[in-house]
Amino acid sequence: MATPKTTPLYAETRVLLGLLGTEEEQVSAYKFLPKGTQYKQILTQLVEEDYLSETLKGKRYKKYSLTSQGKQKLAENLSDPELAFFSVLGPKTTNALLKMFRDRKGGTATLYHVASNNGNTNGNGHTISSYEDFSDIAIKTYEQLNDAYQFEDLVPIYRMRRTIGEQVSRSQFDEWLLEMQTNDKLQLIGGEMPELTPDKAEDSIKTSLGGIRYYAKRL
Amino acid sequence: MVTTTESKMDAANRALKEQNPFSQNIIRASHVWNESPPDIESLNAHASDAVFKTLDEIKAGHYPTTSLLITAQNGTGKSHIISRIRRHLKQNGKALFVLANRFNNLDKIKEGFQKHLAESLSHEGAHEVSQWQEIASKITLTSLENLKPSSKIPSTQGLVQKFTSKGVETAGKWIQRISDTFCRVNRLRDPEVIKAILWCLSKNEQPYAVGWLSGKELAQYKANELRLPSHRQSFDTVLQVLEVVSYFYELVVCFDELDYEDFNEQGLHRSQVIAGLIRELFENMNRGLILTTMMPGTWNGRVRQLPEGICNRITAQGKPYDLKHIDEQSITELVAFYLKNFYESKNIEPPHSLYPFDEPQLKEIGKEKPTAREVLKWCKENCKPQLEQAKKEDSTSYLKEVSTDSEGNTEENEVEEAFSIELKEDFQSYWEDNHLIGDALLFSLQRLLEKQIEEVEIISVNQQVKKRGGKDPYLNFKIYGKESNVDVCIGVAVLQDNGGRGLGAGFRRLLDETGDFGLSRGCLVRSSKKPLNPYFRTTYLEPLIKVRGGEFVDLKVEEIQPLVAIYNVHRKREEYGLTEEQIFEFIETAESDKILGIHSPLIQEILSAPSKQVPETADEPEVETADPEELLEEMPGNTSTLENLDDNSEADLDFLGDNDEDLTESDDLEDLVLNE
Repeated sequence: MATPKTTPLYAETRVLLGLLGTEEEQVSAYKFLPKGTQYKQILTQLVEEDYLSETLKGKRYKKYSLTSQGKQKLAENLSDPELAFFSVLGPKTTNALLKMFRDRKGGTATLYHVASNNGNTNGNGHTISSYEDFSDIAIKTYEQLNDAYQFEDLVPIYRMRRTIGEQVSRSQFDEWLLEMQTNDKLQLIGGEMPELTPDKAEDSIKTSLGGIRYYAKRL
Repeated sequence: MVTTTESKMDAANRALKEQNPFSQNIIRASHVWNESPPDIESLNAHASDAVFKTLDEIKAGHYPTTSLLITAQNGTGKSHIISRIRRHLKQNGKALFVLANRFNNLDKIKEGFQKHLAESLSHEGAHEVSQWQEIASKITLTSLENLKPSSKIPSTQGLVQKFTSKGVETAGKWIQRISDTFCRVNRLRDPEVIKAILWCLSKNEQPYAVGWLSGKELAQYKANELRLPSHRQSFDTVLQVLEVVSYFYELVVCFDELDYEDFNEQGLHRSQVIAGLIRELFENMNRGLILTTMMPGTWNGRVRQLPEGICNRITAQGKPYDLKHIDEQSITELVAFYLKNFYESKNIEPPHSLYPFDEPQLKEIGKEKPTAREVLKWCKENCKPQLEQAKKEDSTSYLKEVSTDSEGNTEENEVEEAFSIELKEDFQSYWEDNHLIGDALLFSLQRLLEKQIEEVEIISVNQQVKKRGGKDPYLNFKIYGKESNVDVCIGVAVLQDNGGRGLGAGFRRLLDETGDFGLSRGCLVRSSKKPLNPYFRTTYLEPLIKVRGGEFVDLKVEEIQPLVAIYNVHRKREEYGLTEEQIFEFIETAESDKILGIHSPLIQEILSAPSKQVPETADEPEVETADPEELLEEMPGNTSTLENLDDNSEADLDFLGDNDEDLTESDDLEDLVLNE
């Protein structure tokens, strides 16, 4: 195969797309990893960088899943002009691309923001600078999602986080959302979330007593 | 002054070292019935008050039935509210109380409800007798007022004493007369349910009658004695009970524990299956209210996906009620309440009401709006005498310290704690539940794949026992394995039935004479203390062991308890805040004295080579006629038709102790007079 074209960017994207294309939460490597030692190295590297999470099943088997950072990384890679395919790939990869496209259209503006802010992320892209601003935007986002998806005043926090996206850093989002709760603007609720996945849990909120909150309810 | 404070502190510190005031904070189902958990009535009073107010409105005749829903996350006090409602009703007797929480078989949800209904009503109501006895007493009253209008009728306790002290023979005659009259007056066609309820008036027969009402099969001799068919499991029984209850009482039915991750064969989630049941119940309830509790995510993400007709029946009273999380105010109230109970029980006056905590520290936690359970858990982990705490004084960093602490060391204890809570559950509640016991065994066996136990290496365990897959109602599961390099397939059936069709059907599965299940051997799991009638013994048990190479495994309470407990911990892991991995690790690393996993003698026995010994079992009294219907016809005094009722209506009711002059036997009357 034309190895010179297999850049790290390309290999990384193939692995991430492959995993996204399996439609499963936790996947064994053989199901998505293209053949070749280079991909194995990339896999280890992606795990180290927290783009993939690795869980041990039994003593030998490892399973992988895409973290929310991983999904963002994939979005960044795809919007990189350096990236190009050089051979025909199977339906799994193509469908994964479709999935990325649809996710972007379906209200999760994260990808859009990532793409538009590409180049000046890591702090510089965070446009919300005060609790007051955040509070306004959070309420607006809440109302929009609540209306659009008929959440009946139980809006998933991960949807709010993804919609607000890079306008605020993750830790700032956590801190300010909790502050809104202290001020009785929202009640954050945990417990049961149907169809919970690791990335949804990741994008929810953890309290300092160790509880997880999945939903916000406006008071 | 200083010295008193110091000595107060010393005393408090000593007590805290001995015992943690926050050691138990999860409500078990039996808490609702037996011990009342500590309850701050002002917490979430809005939710319980709504229930009480609704009940008052029903009693005032504004409307006959309604339903309310409470949605709140785990640990905010859902079960607490239910427990509070039960406590109030037991005190004021405004309604009968039914709790429906443990549905062990989602494919038999109505049967499950029948069981909950019968068992709930066997608990004591407001008058120191069981709720069944209260209903039975009202039935008796109605009939006697009709039969003997001027008679003086004993109190419920008096009736219970009468029915208990007279033998089955006399009580049986009374019951026949009372139920016939009651059915006639109320135009009921079917006297069986009424008869079974009336049998509850006899303390000796109540357990059997409740068993029958809950859908269990009676041993034949008992069915004959009580003049009932051996078995009636049907929703029709439930409907009849509801109707009879509505003549006399309002009913409060509480549904709890809908959130576990369970699905029925059609793929419906536990909450959705129960929602369907609630709709049906709502439509058939004549007087009373249904309270359902679940987590908001379950309600929004699962139940609300069902047709509107179902959701409306769950929230007939309007929007769901939320429960409040703890805040800066209520946190001090909550903590002080627990500490007050603790110090009072030790007869100690603490330095202040929140000792060993202080107010600013607690308020800081309250800001995050934790659940009550989260607060109590934090308290438990941090409830140390203040002198020791002083070393790590920096009060701003205490939260961080906690989280590292808890992440590092407490995981195992959490499973252990949940396990010990579940171990306290009364085994009686599942002792005859073949399905639950089977599921608990299956759960433990699934953790043992690829392991060698006795001579068998377990390859797989499967509930799809039929040839083409699919579950079977009697054969719980099959174990595939290798025994000295030969493939084996062991079929396991838990059969705690007292007799009848269920037991026979189960035995036939284990014998597998037609080869439908492809078993190399059948394994019967059953308590040897349960009587087995000679017919079953010779027809099934002996051939199973001697001819088919099967095995009888004696089910012992102490051996099944830990397996059911860990199975329940796993089912309720969301509630306990545990992950599957934590629980699996606990099982795998448990010491042998916990008798879990590979250490379970019960599991070892199931897998061991058959002993070829037919065990001793208690014989049940033989019956001559198999069919109770036939027997009934031969019995004198069995007057079930309406025509001949009036002819001898005076004769059998002497226990009344009324003022009638035409009493034929006066000794019964004397008995009663003495009692009054």
